[in-house]
Order: sequence, then C-alpha cells, then structure tokens
Amino acid sequence: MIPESYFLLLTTILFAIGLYGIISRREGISIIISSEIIVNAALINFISAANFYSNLNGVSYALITLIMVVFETVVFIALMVVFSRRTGSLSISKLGRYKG
Amino acid sequence: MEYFNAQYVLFVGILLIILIDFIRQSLNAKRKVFMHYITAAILTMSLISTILYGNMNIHLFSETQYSQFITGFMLFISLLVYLFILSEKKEHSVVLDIAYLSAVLGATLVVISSNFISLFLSIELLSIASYALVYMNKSNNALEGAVKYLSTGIVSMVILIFGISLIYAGAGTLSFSSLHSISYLPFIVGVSIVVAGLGFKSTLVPFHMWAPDTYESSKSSVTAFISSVSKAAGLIALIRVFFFALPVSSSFVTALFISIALVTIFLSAFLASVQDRIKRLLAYSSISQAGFAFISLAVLTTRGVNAAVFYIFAFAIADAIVFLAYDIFEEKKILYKKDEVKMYGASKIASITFFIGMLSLAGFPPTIGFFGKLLIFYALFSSGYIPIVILLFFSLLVSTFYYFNVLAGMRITKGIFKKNTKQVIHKEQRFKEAILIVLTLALFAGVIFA
Amino acid sequence: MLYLIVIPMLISAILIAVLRERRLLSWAIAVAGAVVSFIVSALLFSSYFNKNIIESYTWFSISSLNFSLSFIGNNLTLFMALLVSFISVMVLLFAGFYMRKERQSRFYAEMSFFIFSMLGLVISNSLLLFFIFWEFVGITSYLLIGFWYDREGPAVSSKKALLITRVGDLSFLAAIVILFSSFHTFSISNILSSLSSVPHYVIILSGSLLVIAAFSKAAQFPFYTWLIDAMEGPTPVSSLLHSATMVAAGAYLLIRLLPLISAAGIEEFIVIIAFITAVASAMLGLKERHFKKILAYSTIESLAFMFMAIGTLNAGGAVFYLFTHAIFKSMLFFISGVLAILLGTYDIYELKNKGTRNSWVMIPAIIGFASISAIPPFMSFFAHSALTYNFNIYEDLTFVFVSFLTALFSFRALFVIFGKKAKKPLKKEFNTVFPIITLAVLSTIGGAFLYFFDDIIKISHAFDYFSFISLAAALIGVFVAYEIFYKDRAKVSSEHFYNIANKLENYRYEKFVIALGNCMQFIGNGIAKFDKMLANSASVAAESAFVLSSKTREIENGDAFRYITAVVIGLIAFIIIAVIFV
Repeated sequence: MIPESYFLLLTTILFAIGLYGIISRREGISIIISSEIIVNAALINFISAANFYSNLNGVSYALITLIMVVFETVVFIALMVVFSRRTGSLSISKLGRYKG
Repeated sequence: MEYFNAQYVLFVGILLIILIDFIRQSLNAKRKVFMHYITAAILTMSLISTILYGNMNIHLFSETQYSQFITGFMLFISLLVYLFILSEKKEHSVVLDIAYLSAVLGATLVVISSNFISLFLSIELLSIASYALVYMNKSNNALEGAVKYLSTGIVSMVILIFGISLIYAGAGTLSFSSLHSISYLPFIVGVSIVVAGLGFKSTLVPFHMWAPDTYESSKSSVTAFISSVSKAAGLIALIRVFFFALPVSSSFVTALFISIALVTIFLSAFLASVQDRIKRLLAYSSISQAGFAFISLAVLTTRGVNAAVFYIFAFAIADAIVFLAYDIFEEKKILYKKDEVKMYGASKIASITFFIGMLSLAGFPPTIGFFGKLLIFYALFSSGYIPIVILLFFSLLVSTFYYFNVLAGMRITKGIFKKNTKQVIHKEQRFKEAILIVLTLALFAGVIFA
Repeated sequence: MLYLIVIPMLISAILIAVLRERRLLSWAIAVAGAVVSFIVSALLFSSYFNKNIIESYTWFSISSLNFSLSFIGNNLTLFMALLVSFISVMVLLFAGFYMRKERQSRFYAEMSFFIFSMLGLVISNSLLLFFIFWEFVGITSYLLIGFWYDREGPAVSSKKALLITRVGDLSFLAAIVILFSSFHTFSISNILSSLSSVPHYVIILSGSLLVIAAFSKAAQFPFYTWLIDAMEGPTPVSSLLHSATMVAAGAYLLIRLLPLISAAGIEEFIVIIAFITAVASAMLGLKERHFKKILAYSTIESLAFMFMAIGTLNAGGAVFYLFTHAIFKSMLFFISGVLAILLGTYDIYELKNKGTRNSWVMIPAIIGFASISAIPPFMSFFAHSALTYNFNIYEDLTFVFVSFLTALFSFRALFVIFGKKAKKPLKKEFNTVFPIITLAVLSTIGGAFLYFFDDIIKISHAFDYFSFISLAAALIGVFVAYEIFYKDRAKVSSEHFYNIANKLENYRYEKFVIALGNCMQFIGNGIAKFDKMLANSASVAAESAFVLSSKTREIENGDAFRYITAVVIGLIAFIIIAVIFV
C-alpha cells in the first residue's frame, strides 16, 4: 500500500511542472498541454483519495472532470485553429489590439 | 410541480431547441426566427417557474436562503439581454440560442450547487458557453477577446479543479454540508487554490486582466451578459464556498480577502480614470463593482453576506443597463469619452438610462446602487472595519471623478429639449429602448425585491 | 406633508416629459407650481404651528433594515419650507426675465426639481432621507451650473462643484453609517433624544464628519472655491441655489443636529473656521471685479456668520440670519442679473461707465449692500444682534473687525457700480420690478416683525453695546469705502490702494487710510496666495494620481501571455500565504 502523502507529493510535482509549462511557453497549444498535466494531477488526487477513504465518489468525480476538461480542450483547440489561420501563428502574445 | 423550475425548464428547452433545429434543417426550412422566439419563451418560462416554485432540489444541488432571489434576478436580466440581442437586425444562428441558454443554465446552477464538483460543472458550463458567446460575431477583435478569455479561463479552470481535488484529498468529501474547516495542509492549499480559480470569474485582481479586453472586444450585449450574470455567478460561488461550505472565521482570511478587494477597487478605479474609450472605462468600473461585493463578503458575517447578495443584484442590473445602452451608442460610432456629446443625438432614452445606470454605479441615491453601498458600509462598520470604510469612501470619490468624466459638463443631456436632427429611428431601436426602460425601472424598484 | 414635496416633483416631471420648447407655458407652470408650494407650506405652517408632528410612511426594507419616509412638521422645518418656496416664487418670476432667450423648458424642469429636493430636505426627519435630498440638490446644482454646457466655463465649474461637494457628501454618508450602527435608527428626533446612550467617541466622530459635510456644502474654508466658480451658472440659479437656499442647507443640517454638535464639543472649531472664512472671503471680495463673484464672497461670509451662531449654540440667531440673508442676497443677485442683461456686463468697473443710476435699481441695491453690512434700520441689523447674542468677548472683538471689512468690501461694490452720475434708462418689467421691490421692502421693514419671528424660532436677542460698536465699525468701513472708491472716482481699482492713499494726502486722516490700505492689500495678497497654493496642491495631487494610473496601465499591455502569468503569480502568492499563515 502506497501512503497517501506520496500521491500528494507526486501531484504537487505534476502541478508545479504544469504551472512551469504554462508560464514558460507562449504557444496556445503548449498552454493546453501543460493544463492537461495539471488536470492529470487532479485526477490522480481524486482517485488516490477515493482509494484512501474507500469512497467511490472520488472516481466518479474524476470521470466527470475528465469529460468536462475534454470539452474545454475541444473548444480551446477549435479556437486555436481559427486563430492560427487568421494570424499564421500560435503565439498568444501576438495579440495587442486591446490594452491599457 | 416538482419539475417545473428554472433549471429543468432550461435543460429541457436546450434539448428541445436542438431537436427542433435538427428537424428544421432536415426539412430545409429557411426561417430561423421562430427558434429565437422559442428561446425567449423558454427563458420567460424558467423565470416564471423560479418565481413560483424556486429552484431544482436534487442531491448535488439544493435550494438555500438566497438562491430563489438570485436565480430570479439572473433570469430576469438574461431574458432582457436576450431580447436585446434578438432585436438586432441581422439573424443569428441557432448556436447563439443554445450557447446563451447553456450559459444561463450554468449560471443558475452555480447558485444552487451544494457540492464542489457540481459547482465546478456549473462554472464550466457557464464558461464554455460564454466563450462561444464572446466569439459569436467572428470578427478579428472578437477573436482576440475570446482567445484572452479562453486562455486565461482554461488555466483558471484547471487550477480550480486541482484545488478541488486537494480539498477532496484532505477532507474525503466535497459536499458543502459535510465539509468543515480542518488544518490539514493539502486542504488549506486546496482552499487557497479554489479562491484563485473562482477569482477569475468574478474578476478579482490579479485574475482580472482578461476582463477589460474581453469586455471591450465582444458585442456590448454579450458584455452586458458576462459582466452581470456571469460575474454574479462567480461571486455567488465565492459566497457559497466561503460562507456556507467553509465558514472560516480566521481573521487572517478576512484580512487577505479585504486586501484583495481593496486592491481590486483601487486599481480598477485608477485605471478607469485614465481610459479614453467609454467601453473600457465601463469594463474597469464593472471590475471595481466586483471588488465592492467581495469586500462585503470578506467580513463573513450574515449582515455582510446579505449586503453582498444585494450589491451583486444592484450592480448586475446597473451594469446590464450601461452596457446595453452603450450598445446603442456603439452602433452610432460613439466610442470615446469626447464623443459623449453625441450620445443624446443617438438615442434620448438610451442616454438618460445610461446616465441613471452610471449614477447607480457611482452610488448616488435613490438608486439601488446607493442602498447596496450603504448596506456594505453598514456591514463593514458594524464589524469594526472603520479604516476600510474610510478607504472605500476615498475610492468612491475617485469613482465619482471618472463617472462624471464620461458625463462631463452634463453634455449628455445636450439638448434634451432640443429638436433633434430627424433621425430615422428603427423599430429595433425602439424595442431596445423599451428594454432599457424596463431595466431602469427595475433599478429603482429593485429595493422591493430584497 | 407629502403634498408639499409632491407638487414640485410632479411639475418637474410634467415639464420634462411633456413640454419641450414652450418657454412661456413652462415658465408659467413652474411659477404656478412654486406659488402652490408656497400656499401649501403656509397652510401647513399655520396648522402645525407650535406643534411637533412626525409623519412616517414605510418605504421598503432590506434584510431587517427599515427605510421609511419620515417627515417632521414643526416651526423650524415649516418656516424653512415657507422661506424656500417664497424665494423660489421670486426667483422663478425673475427667471422669466433673465432666461427669456432660452427656448428650452429644461431650465424650469430642473428648477422645479430643485424646489422639490430642497423642500424635501428641510422637512425630512430621517437622516437617510435628508441625505438623499442632499444629493438631489447637489446633482441639480451640478446640472444647473452646467446649464450652458456648450461653454467652457460652466462645464468645468459644474464638475468642480460636484467633486468638491462630493467630499462633504461622502463624509455625511460616513456619519450616517456611524450614527446608524450605534443608534439603529435614521430618525433625527430619535437620535437626538438618545444622545447619552452611546459612547462619546461616536458622537465626536459623527459630529466632525457632519461638520465637514456642512462646510463643503456651505462653501466654508477650505472648500469655498467651488461657490465662486459656480457663478458661471445662470443668475437665477446663483440666486436660488448658491446664495439663498442650497448652500444654506449646510447650516441647516447643523441647526437640525445642534444637540449632537454641542454634545460632541466641537463648537469652538466651527466658530474658528467660520471666522477664518469670514475674514478670508471679505478680503478676497475686496479684490474681485465680477459683480456676481463679489456677491458670492459675501454669501460665503454670510454663511460663516450663520456658522458662528451655530458654533455658539444659537440656533434662533442662525435661522433668523439665514432668513434675512436669503431675502436681501437674492435681491442683490436679481439686481446683478438686471444690470448684466440690460447693460451687458458683470464687471463692476465697466458697469460704472454705462449709466447705472436708475433709482428703481439703485435704491434696492443700497438697501441690499446696507443689509450686508448690517446697518439699521434694515432687518439684517436685528439679525446681526441676534446672531452675536452668545458671543464671548474675543468673538465680539473679532466680529467688530469683520463688520468693518464687510462694510468696506460691500460698499466698495456699491460705490463703484453707482459711482458715476449717468443714467441710461433701464426698461422696467413686472418680472424684474416686482421681485426686487418686494424683497427690498421685506428686508427694510422685516426688523419690525422681530417679535413675530421670536414666536416662531425663539430668537435670543439683545442690543448689547457690542452691536453698536460693530455698527460703528461698519460705518467706518462705509466711510473708508466712500473716501476711497467714491470721492476719487478716477482710475480706481482695488489693486491700487497704495496710489489712492497717496492721492488722499490732503486729508487729515491720510496716515490712517494709507496704513489701512497697505494692511488690507498685504493681507489680501497673502490670502490670494494661499488660495492659489490650495488650488495648486489639488492639481498636483490630481496630476500625480494620473501619472500613477498611467504607469499602472502599462501592466495591462494586451499580451495574453502576461495575463496568464498574472494568474499564476497570484495563485502562487495565495498558496504561499496560505501555507505560511493559516
């Protein structure tokens, strides 16, 4: 039996990696991939906690989250496709019409 | 009548619209207009059902003290904003109807969700639908707004779900009724992450940065929706979490919240005062309103929460008014502060309602904005935050400055009684003006609902 | 009592909604409305005489807070209502003359709205209601100062007026919040009757905030600049709002809450500020050339007199002086308006050369300026003796000096304006002659009804020897003004005191005049410098706020990546704070 805290450590590391990924790259796609890492961390948390508390709710939460995040990713990627067609780039730093 | 309530009506309505649209397409029917009427009917019905029977009440969602009132005003504003969108000349696609209804459904579900996972689901529903709404007119500007909204939003959402998962790991449950504050590290970290995630929707500094750009780039009627209903949902979610689920009475949390709120209020006030474009100024003012609602929540007393709920209602209506009125001005190319001279010429009713809405946002009596602020000050004062109240008064002074900069020299009433150059006033505009009048009446009458 | 305020409100609504360009008709309706209000307040006054009746209507309630429309009918409030509606009738009549070129009925709508708010303000018994009407009059003042929005001056000064009075509004609101959280009621009468039940600091805090509110509304030091700029507005507006009624609302607030002020023990402070204001405004008035602005300085000074009476807990004196002042000052504004319309300028030195000596204008003007200087037999002499009733010896001595200054600067204006024996016949009109003559007669014979007023508002009154010393000082002032500004009619300008004094060398009292002239000029310059400094520091503050904001807006540089970074940084900060502190 692996202790709960190991999972927490793992997910924290994943979370940190995800955050680092988000702030280190400017391409929209890398943002979504880094976000997926954080989501995976959340899923691991849910499932390990469900295991720890012997409570299946956590698993269902994980499934719901998974589905919801898929939707969000789809919308994001769809928008990114439009964006890259319009601007010829994936870098979200290219925007600057509205500011100040 | 167990199933005749806002959320069921909306849900069934969305399914119905998808179905009808499918049939319509397979029959190659050209007319789409009646779809819009169905949507409006669905919104009306759900409003009526809320007033009569309240909200849905099943395991992840439950009715609370304020939820009927909140759902009621959300649906009210959504209905009027929808009618406003509807009155535009060009036909919209059915996607708009579906997205709009889903957003409203999400917002009303946030109000009654009694579990972190259902809260997350509802916010996601609201967010995804509003991304679609922002990008509805498919222009390059809207694209910029949507990309900023979505890329910030997606980061906030994954942060939120990670926070929720930590809370689950810490407490073993996500239900608001069985949660209680514990000092287990993952739990605390989770809660702080959740604040960050929800701060995005309610545009608290430093999670607000998408808001001015998105508000400015999308259509004003859509902005009216996301700055009133959607933001109200975010703030309500914060209330649900911090007042009902985790009654943290730590003075430290209060201090943190108050400082966030103060930074929000002051930053947006100062930024608003240097704007040239009216819409951006309105966007910042809308952010500062969120700060006010949040500071009242921060004291975490019943009185404070009452004030916060009332204030959310007050600014949601006022924001809807100013953005919808601005929509009329925008059509007439009134974009900069110096253009306010022409406002009256564009539409008399719009300029007057705009003025009243601004007065409410600035907190002049006898609009509900004033009473909302009064309640907030009272709540803060009776909890002993006297220096905060003084700071808030100072911020009100700054905000008077920028609100009246827009209305400088009272040019807005330019020739209230002067004959205009005869403009052809379209039927659509008359309809829009009627909606504005209804909202303005609600602004004065709103005090009765409370 | 509700009828009293409903009538002008309805009239304003009718004018806004229905009439657009019917100038004459809307004028007639507005005047009729004001007359009806006057009659109603007279009826109410007679039926509530020597009673103290509170009428309450429930308005609405938000989460256990009850807001009610509560009005109080007693001698003071209804006397004020009577005064407000009377002056309104006069001003609206005059407006028929002054505003005859304006085609819009907006002016009358806004004036009626003002009358509604002012009447509501004087009779309201709830602090909250008082505040709401207080804000209404503030906004109407903003609208009316900026009536000619297309000119540069009014647009700027209306905003300035709004922003400066907003300071006071907010401190009033703060006082209401404080009072409400300790007394749990908005009702003024309940608050005043249970003053001893709350800790002393609450009283002091709220009292000081109320004093700030009153000072900003009544344009006292250091808020007085807005009133001078407010003279950009139409003259009827200056007359009704910026001298007779609205600015007096500041004094009225303190009169209503006098027990609270005295319990707070801040009367001395009020008196000191009032004296500073009086001296400063008289000095600044001495340098001014614009007729209306001279009257504005005199208004500020008169309000300072009211605050002196309030500070010495002499409500009767303050109200009596308020009444007197409203009458003669609105008359003087009418005169300034008549001269400006018919002769085309407000500058007193230009007016002088245009033939002002029409007896129907000059005699009321003499009455008016004599009233400012409190010279018998005019009513204001009695008012002065009433308001100085509670003064101690130091205050009396200062007041003698102030009387001298007042007489000097007011008679300067008189002697300059009517200083040339030239007459260009001015067209008489009912709308000008009737209000001016009525008010002139009232301020002349009003003193005879002193005992009648005493019945209404309990004036403590005595002609002690200080009233006569003040009178003597005032007469000296008149004499000095006569010598400087009337005798020597050539090239006179207040900036050239020194030269004038040199020219007067063949007089026996030359030394005195020279010294006086020097002294006045020195002090006047000092005050003017201070005034400028005040304005500069305000603009520096505004400038730095603007620079700060411009720097801040660079954070938001339009790069979506930066937005996300901000989110992540905020998040990490939250986590760190949570881990360390909780």
